[in-house]
Amino acid sequence: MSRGAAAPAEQSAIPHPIPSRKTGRAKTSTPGRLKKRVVPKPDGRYLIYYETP
Amino acid sequence: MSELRWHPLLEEWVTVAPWRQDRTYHPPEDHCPLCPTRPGHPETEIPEPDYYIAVFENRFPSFTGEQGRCEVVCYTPDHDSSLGEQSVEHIRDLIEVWRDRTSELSRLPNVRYVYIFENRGEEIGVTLSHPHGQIYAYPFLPPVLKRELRAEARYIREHGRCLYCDVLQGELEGERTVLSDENWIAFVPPFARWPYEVHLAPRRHRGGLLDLDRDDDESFARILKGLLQKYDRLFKRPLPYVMAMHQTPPGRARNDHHFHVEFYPPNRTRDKLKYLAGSELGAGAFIVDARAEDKAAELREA
Repeated sequence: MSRGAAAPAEQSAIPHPIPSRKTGRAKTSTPGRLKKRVVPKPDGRYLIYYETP
Repeated sequence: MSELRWHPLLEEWVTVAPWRQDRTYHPPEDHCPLCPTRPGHPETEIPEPDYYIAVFENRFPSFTGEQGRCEVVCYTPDHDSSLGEQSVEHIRDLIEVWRDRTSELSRLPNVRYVYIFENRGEEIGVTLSHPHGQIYAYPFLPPVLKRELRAEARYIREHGRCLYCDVLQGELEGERTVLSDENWIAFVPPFARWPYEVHLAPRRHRGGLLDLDRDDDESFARILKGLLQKYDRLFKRPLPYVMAMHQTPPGRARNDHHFHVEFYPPNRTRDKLKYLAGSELGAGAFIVDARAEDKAAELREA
């Protein structure tokens, strides 16, 4: 990784945290119904099949 | 691995990946790498004779290894189909896949942002016509998201409210609404930079796919399908577009980002495209020869 001159030391610094709001996130996301099958490829990459139950 | 070079004037990363020059370019239909492998034919990226939804690591990635990931999401084995032609149930399952990939890629040590997108149509530069999308897990926060998050953080500091929630408040009259239900809305934003640009957003404040509940998923699938069908009916031809999901970054403690999906079709008429030229590319200032209210009305009627 070549950062070069004047590259930022830290890009995600969050200096002023903000309190969470009442309208915030859903408590739970949808539970998954799909079956997941991971298959390695000969070149080292992965392939994932998502299948209906 | 790619080389990341810092652009000191724009203060953003440029990713240099020369091997992508050799990526597959408009193969004949019987050599599509995203189709299932047919018996007696050469193996594609997907060795099995059929699949429902499949995801694999891009053979010509911009980011790999410790830098991040580039994945291809095959929506369907049907080469001649499209995202908008899938059933609502299938799109809901695809949302589950997008959520699973978001969750998994977010946990990689150097990943700073998971970006789900689709390029559709040769006008956009698509080199494989099989219906598919992509996911980039970046080792940095991409500049558009960085600006957006900064604006949202500033707004909430100054007003105590979510910026995008207030944008949605401005759409209550419905003049720019394309379609909606009680959970989601699709609208042409008043600040649209493309004639038929549309934002899809949950009405309730959600940061990303990981925050959606069952009702959100159902509405998201219905509104997404509805919009894509309208797009294709608009000019009675498949409309090219870029679909861009703006989720909250992994591990962000604050809840100030509002999840939404942006669509940028390049067409300004059936046969004329809007090009990014001098003002847009050289000065970063978009000029749009259309009113959002008029384009929303066209899409509503499509």
